[in-house]
Amino acid sequence: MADTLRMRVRRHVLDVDLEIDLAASPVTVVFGESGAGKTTLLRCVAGLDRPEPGSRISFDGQTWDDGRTHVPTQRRRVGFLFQNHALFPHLDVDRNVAFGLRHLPRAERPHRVRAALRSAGAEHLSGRPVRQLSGGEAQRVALARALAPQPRLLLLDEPLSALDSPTRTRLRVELRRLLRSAGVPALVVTHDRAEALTLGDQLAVLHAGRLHQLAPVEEVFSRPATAEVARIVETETVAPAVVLGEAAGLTRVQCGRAELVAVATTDLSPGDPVLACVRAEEVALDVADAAPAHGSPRNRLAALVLEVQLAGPLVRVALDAGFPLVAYVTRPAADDLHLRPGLSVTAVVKAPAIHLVPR
Amino acid sequence: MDWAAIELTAVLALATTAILLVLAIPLAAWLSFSRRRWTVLIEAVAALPLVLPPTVLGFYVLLALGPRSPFGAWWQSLTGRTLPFTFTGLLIASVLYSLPFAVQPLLASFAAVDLRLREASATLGHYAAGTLWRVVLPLSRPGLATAAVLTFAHTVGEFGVVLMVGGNIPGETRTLSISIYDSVQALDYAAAGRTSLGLLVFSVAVLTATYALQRRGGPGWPTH
Repeated sequence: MADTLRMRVRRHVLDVDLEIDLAASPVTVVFGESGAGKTTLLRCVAGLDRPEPGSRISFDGQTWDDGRTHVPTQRRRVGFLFQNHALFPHLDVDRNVAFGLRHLPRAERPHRVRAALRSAGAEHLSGRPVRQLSGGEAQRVALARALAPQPRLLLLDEPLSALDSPTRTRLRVELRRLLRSAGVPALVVTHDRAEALTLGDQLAVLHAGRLHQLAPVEEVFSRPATAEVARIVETETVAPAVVLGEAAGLTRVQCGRAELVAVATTDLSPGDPVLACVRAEEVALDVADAAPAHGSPRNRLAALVLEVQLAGPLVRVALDAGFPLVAYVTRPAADDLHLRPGLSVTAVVKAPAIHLVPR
Repeated sequence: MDWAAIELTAVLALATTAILLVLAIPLAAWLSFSRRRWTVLIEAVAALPLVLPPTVLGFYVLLALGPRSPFGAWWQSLTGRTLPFTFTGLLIASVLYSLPFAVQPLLASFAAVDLRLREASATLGHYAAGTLWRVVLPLSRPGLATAAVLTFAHTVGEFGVVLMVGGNIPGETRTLSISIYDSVQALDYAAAGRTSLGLLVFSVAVLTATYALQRRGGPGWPTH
């Protein structure tokens, strides 16, 4: 797969210039608040909406849209997952999945349907009427249907938003696994932070119709390119980590040179890759040689101050705690600690403030 | 009972219904799904027979079918016969007159099919015709049934257009409603009464069937 998706898309408020190397990052999440133009962008890539003059979209060297050309959706070979799944209510699961296989000889189709259902984890749903499917099941069938014709690009519009919250949490991790194993590059639109963190290799952050940042997930969260990105993503620290073990409802992870303790939320086993997320307001600072605590916080990390910046009434402190960590402290606190680059401090984080996102 | 008129009416109504479904399905699909502005004009023209007096419509159809019109002349050179006051002429007039009764229910039920389903079909490689056949029509069955029933019933009951275009030729253009009119003219109230009662019972049955279909399968006729 040496596919590249290049686009300059203009439509209404949307004006985005974007180039995605789909081989390097198979799953790109288009992230932003409602009304940012994410869905319009996705629909233009699918050919369902026509972008305005001055736009161009090309995939793997083939022009899909420019002033003169408009390759119709039917010939783009993209799989599209709609928010409400859009399964055909008059067809059963198998016929839904076979819908895009008209070009194949009849005898080959059942084989491909089974393969697609298997790769979407929906084999057990074969033969069921779609009206009886739960939200999560419909999601799997819709994914199987999109995968069956072997698309070159998969487009997912808020894939988990139609599901209830427990199902969403469960499917998030699984969808990531399915997308990786399907071997089809994907563009996922979402406004949900957890979804973006779980699914994406890289994030394209959209705000008010403009692209603000395109970078790997950790980078967007730890080094937001603009103030809007920082506000949209809300979490200042996102660092890759590996699960060490679990005990007494707590999960220990290795994050850079540091070992962190978080409250166990999802099923994780040792060796699992995760992202450790910490909001800067949740990080407290203490003098370096403070008596190691008999207090409640589980994480006391030796850290080196890298940078001190004023941020309104607060002070933003960039730290090296064995991994990049950002803290917000009040100005009086910063004065008391004499915070300056090069100073050694202790960063204190309660276990519940460390949020682990499985990858 | 005028059995020849009953048979003629049944054949005319069946043929009109069959022809109209073939014509109205692509027309309604185009009107529903096209984004061009001037489809509004075509939609209005297709609905015209609803408001136009049947005699006015009949008059224009008569002119259009006559040997002096381009179409009439072409037909005559092709078949050696004229169209007015023949069964074929009557059939053409019926198709025009009942057009809205086929198109309107189809428009309503096509519009009720979720746009996302058509888009999903497009991403799966199907063009407009394939999507119409595999997604829109199967989901519009109540609308199709309503269109067929209304077209059939409306053709059975037409009078003004028949009289203008077809006249009153037994076995060729004399339909049931003309037969009733004839009986009354001849002061044969008993015959007129029998035929009228037959048509009344038929109409009630048709409407009951239509409403039963609609209740089972969603709207087939515009409700707004």
